[in-house]
Formats: sequence, C-alpha cells, structure tokens
Amino acid sequence: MHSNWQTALGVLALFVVVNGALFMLTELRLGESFQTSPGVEQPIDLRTLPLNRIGLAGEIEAGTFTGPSLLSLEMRENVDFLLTPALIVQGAITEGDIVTYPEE
Amino acid sequence: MLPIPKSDQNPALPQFRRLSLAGAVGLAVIAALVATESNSPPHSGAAPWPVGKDVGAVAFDCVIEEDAPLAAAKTVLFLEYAVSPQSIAYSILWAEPCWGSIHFPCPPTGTSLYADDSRFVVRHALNDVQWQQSLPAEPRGRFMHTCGNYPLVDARIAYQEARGRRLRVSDVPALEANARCGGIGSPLPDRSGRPPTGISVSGIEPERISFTFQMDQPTERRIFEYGLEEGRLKTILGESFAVQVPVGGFEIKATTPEFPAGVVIEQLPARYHADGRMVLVEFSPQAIGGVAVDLPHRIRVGTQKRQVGGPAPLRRVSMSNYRRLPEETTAETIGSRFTSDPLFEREQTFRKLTANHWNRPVADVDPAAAAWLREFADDCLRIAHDEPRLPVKLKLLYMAIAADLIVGNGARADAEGLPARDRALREAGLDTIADLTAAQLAAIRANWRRAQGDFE
Repeated sequence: MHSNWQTALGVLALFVVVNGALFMLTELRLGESFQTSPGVEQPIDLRTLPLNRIGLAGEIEAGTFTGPSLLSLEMRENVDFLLTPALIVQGAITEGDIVTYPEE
Repeated sequence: MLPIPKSDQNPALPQFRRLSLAGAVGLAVIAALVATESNSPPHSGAAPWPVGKDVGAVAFDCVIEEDAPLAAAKTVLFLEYAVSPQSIAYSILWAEPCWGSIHFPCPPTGTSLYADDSRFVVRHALNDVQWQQSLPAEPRGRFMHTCGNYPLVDARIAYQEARGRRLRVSDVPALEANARCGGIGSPLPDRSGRPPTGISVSGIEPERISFTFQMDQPTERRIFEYGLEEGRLKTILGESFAVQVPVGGFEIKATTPEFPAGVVIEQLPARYHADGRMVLVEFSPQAIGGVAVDLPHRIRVGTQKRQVGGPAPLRRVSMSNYRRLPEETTAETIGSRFTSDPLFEREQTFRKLTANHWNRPVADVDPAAAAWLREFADDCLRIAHDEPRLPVKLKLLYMAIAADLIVGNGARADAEGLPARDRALREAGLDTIADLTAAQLAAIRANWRRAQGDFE
C-alpha cells in the first residue's frame, strides 16, 4: 500500500511532465509565428483589413489613439521637453542666434 | 486624415492650412508681384528678427506642470537650469506627487543632465549612476516602441536635432529673400546633425514675423509667429500638426494567417502628435550683468482640445529668478549638485530607513532607527520653516512627515508637516497637486491602519 507522500509525489511528477509537454508545444507553435522567414512574409495593405485586425495603425488612421505604443511617444515628449526651457534661453543669450522654439 | 487642430483662442496664429490651394497660390503671386514692383525687400535691413545677446552663463528656476493625457498622470517637476552659449544643464530638485508614482522614466529627484557640443551626460545622484554619450551624427529616424519607457540619455537626439535646426543671423538674408518670393519653401543650409528641413517665411512685419518649418517627416509641419513690441520679443506662438497619416510609413510584418494577431507594427513614425501641439512662449526683459535681454518667463503647451489659454493645457512652465553664473557650469558641477548638499548624507540614511520601515507597525521599528528619525524629523521641520526655495521646502516637509508617521508621531504630521506642505503648494498655485497628494497620503494611511492596526 502506498503511503500518502508516495501518492503526492506521483501526482506531482505527472503534473510536471504534462505541463512540460504543454509548454514545449506552445513554444514551438509560438516560435513558428514569430520566425521571420522571407518566404512567408507578405506585405499587407492596411486598407483591405478590418479595423479590429489592424490595431494601432487603424486607430491612428481613424484618429482614435488608444494603443499602448503611444505611451512611448508621450513619455519621450515629456522627457525631451525638459530641454526646451534651456534651449530657448540658450538662443536668447547667444550672440547671433535667432530665438526659436526648439520643437522638442 | 487626422483632425486638424484649431486655434480659436489664438486668432493671431496663421491658419495656412485652411487656405485653399488656389488662395495660397494667389497670395504667393501677389506677394511676388509686389516684391518685384518695389524692387526692394520689405523692411530691408531692419527686419526685427529676435537675435540673442551674449550675457554669459545664466541660471534660473523652473517649475514644469505636466498633465499627460494618455498616462492620465499629473506631474510637477522643480528644476534648476544652468545655460551658457556653449552648454545647457538641469537638475531636478524635487517632483510631485511625492506619495505616488510619477510619470517619468526614473525617480526624478536627483536627476541631472549636461550637454555641450560633444557630450551628453545624464546622472542620477541618489542612485549614483551616470551615462555619458557623444552626440549622434545622424537624425533619429523612426522611433521604436519603448514599452512606455524612454531612457533620458536618448534626449540627446532631440538636443542634436534642435541644435541643427537653429537659425542664425547669417540665415536672415535667405529668409528675407524667401519672404519676397511669397514664402515658397526652401531648404535650410546643411549643418551638422540637422535633419533635412525646409522653411518658408510668410510675413515680415514690424510687429509680427511668421514662418513655417517643413520637417523631414512629410507628415508634419510647424508654424511659428513672433509677437514683437517696439523691437522687443514678446511671444513665440507655435503650432505643429500632422498633415496626413503615413500608412506607408509603418513597417508591417505579416505573420502566419492562423494567428489572429496577424499584423505586427514594429515602428512608429519618428514624431507624432496625436492632437497637434500649440505652444505659447512669453518673454519679458531681464537684466543679466547689467545687460537687458528678453528671456522667457512662461511657456504653455496645449492641443486643439486643451488650449494654451485654457485652464488645463498639457504643460505649464514658469521660469524665474534669472541670475548670472560667475562660471560656466560643467558636467561635473551639475552632477555634484546633490552630493555637495550638507543634508545629502542624512537624506541617504533617511531613504534607507524609510524603505525598511514604511508601512510597518511602530513596535517593529528599531529603537535606534526611531531615535534617528525623530531627530531628523525635528531638523527637517525646523529648516523647512525658513526655507525660501519651494522644492527644498517640499522635500524637507515630505521627509519630516514620513519620519513622523514611521515613528508613530502622526499627530505632529497632521498638525505641522501636512498643513505646512499644503500651504506651500497652494501658495505656489499648485492646488491640483495639493489635493492629489493629500488624497494619496490619506489612502496610504487608511491602508496602513487596516492592515496592521491603528498604531500611529
């Protein structure tokens, strides 16, 4: 008769094997999708795709901006803007410079 | 097509984009005829382009209020700038809201930046790290998705682009010739680091000069207008907007059709302002070393919906306390801005103790640490009382309140630290941040009580 700990060990081993197999299968499948094979890639015309397929590009085209990628642009604008006060002042205190807005 | 921003609150802003093509061509022809007829440039030799004066290196204090629309985050940065004709530098002295996360790539306080003709140095004094880069020789190109982050040192690309796009007095003859030709765009002369840029000058008048930059990105255009008064620069009014959406500008990678994700967008346009941007920079005369020079005292950045003149633009910047620096700032001096402060070592100890004891019952606080924190809180309150610099005062009060809460002296925090902090913020016109941080701290204390009992 098996003791409780032997049963638990058996269940644990089965769990590890099944999960490992699932993990490997998933990785293989995802790996296929992200491989960049020139033979598989084809240009896609965004205009022929429904809006829910084209995601961020569609949002941008439609003028609705909710994609998380735009957060990168927003952060960049916030950081680059810190240069703006200095650059305006630098133009104003530099002989021969025309004062302009630096367009961060 | 993108929605094109309007500037209803700024009627002086040129609205070129609203002109029909026929109207624009007609105006150009008329302007060219007038110029040919008179055979002399308008305001020849006296065009009031705002030209800089060499007054040496200056320092100034700056408060930047940002309201990031996508991140839905309000942030206030307190900075000190040091600028000379050869270099720029800033230190972030303090940032609000202090009890919650801040929309910035790193903890802002303690960050400093220095840039000159060859170096771009970013340092974080509290974390004791430094990045140094040379300036890029090429334009940025397409901006890669950065998962909402943006390394500060990447601002060197924006710095280089701004330097390359700067106008000089030597450009004025070409600009005025451009205006005589009816403002038809012409490329600016090549300069190191400058992305291809065209400029068209649409009007030179005694009180107003208008011109348009056409960037290397065909999707963007920027219009600027100087407001002048008796030869003095009063305002720069600017507007940028997307002309069209570059569907072809996205690089699309197809994946296997059975996966619904289907399309992977790898890159974004190098520059994209979803709702356009409008800026208004206001200048006033300042005396630096006995020389009067027009320097900016306020900058506002808005959009079509959140106008610069409205109650909630994207950014509000106030610049004050201009003073001449006896010596030019270097990367080393700006980097040691924090470490040379007499309180720096104690601040570091405070941060370590706070990290170890925050949100823990008073009984768990090490007695020696508690004694140190009590004394530190006393000193912070005392120094803050007479401290005239707002960011330093806010930092001292923040540390006093945190130390008081950790050692179970919440009654003093409620009676002294918190009211003083609230008063300082409101006197500076930062009511939104005062409300926000008060709510954040109240929530933190409520959670603290719920989790571990009312031990304050």
